[in-house]
Amino acid sequence: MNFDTTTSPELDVEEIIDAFTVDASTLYCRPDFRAHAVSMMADARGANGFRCRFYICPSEQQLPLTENDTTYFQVKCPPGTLVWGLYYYDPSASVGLQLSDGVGNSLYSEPITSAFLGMGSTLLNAGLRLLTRPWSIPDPGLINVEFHDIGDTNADTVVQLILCTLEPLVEGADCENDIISWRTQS
Amino acid sequence: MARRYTKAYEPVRQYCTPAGYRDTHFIYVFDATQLIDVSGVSSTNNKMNNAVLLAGNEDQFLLRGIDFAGFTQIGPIDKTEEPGGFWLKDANGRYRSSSPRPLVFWTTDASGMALSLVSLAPEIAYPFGSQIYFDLVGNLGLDYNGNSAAYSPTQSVRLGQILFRGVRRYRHPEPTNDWDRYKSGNWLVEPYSYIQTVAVDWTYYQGGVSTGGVAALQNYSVVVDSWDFELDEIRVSGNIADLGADGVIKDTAAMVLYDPAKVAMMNAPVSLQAINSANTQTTSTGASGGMAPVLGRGALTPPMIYPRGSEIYFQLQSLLSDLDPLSSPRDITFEFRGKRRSRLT
Repeated sequence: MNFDTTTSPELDVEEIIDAFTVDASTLYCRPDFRAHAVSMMADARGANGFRCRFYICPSEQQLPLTENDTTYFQVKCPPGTLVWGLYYYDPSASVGLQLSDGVGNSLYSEPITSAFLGMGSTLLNAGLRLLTRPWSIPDPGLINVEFHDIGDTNADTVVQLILCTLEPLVEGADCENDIISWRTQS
Repeated sequence: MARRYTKAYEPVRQYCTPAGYRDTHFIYVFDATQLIDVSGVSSTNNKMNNAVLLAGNEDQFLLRGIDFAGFTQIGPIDKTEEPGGFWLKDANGRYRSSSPRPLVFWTTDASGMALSLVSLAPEIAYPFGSQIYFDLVGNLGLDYNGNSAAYSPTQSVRLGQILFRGVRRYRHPEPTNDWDRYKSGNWLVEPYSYIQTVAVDWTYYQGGVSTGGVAALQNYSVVVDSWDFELDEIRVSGNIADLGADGVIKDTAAMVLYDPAKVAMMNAPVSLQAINSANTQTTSTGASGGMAPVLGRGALTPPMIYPRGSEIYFQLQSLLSDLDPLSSPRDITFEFRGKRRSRLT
């Protein structure tokens, strides 16, 4: 798979425009982030050899989170896994989140609160947050998740994080391989 | 025999930077505060031939969208009346539509501010030294109070801005743009965010509203450490908009963002409501933080590259009023969201 990192991601997605789909909005410069993010996912979306997988954390044993403490969780995934988005549910809006891979590269310069993650105090449904590009998890295939509870009174904070990933398929790992090989035969 | 099909309609790739040029994201700001209708009733006064001067040394400014930010209402205050309109001219003073584009946007439920985007296709090129002319005609009560109250700086400070979004296009020797350096070698590219929390603990007026002097902008920077950083969008959290003492939502601060060479990317402080790439859903108590998924309009097009060792430099203008009892210091958290690159070989 080849992510083109050499060009501006503006309007990199080919669209079929014909009498059925013509719409003036396709001409507009898209000043929203989603268009950028989706264009960065274009290769991943069309790639064979990956399957969709969602990791949910923290574990039930770690809930509720301890007040004014940090809870650590580790996701084990195959090396080469691509994280492309996340959902974060934090009704208290007081739990910061930090993600890093097994070699210490973090996703944020410091813990980020749920206000940024598509979940706010006025919303009950967590929104999908697309990453700016797929995040490749190197060997040994670990994602370190830290929940920083900075709430004053929320002793029973319950949060849920869903990591949306593309998991590389190993030869013969499961029946999906057969489907992939069938797809690529032509 | 050659097939004789009419070529299917396809959009022009008009947003790609041509060879020999460099594009940077830019916002020209028109301060519409002076146009605010303070009479409490619909205004039928036409505000003709407003102009925004292209103050930079760009070869062209390509206008791609127009935002109306900071207003709680754009349109006639009496909603039963005929709406007014926005009439754009090109650099030669020619109208770009046969009649004004109707402009009606109300958010009088105090759930947020009006932020209405007019997209332009194709983009309109304004050459060096020209001006963006536009008319505001007909029944157009740009009443950013959302009610009949007259504007008063003693209540709170509000911006009513018309934002002309686009790119500055410069002639630029090869390599043509910031991305060219990534065409050779292997680069590790990862999503990354810089988080910066800022306390807005000063007010709009220096030494109080009675002095009339506007306080200076405060400077901030985020150091881009060991990786090149591509800034895609800015998200803002915290009390970026508050319910003022007069019961109307207002901004907390406005921002000027700079590129790595410390060249401003907007010609005046822009309302955080318009900078914020997340849709803000401010509660009536001012307890902000509710943010919808990635549908905001604050993305940089094209993104800006901050080389390693540079800094994301920005200035903030406080919009807090010292006479507003609810204007206590406010914490604002910025997320500078993008990708970072490190050369592997």
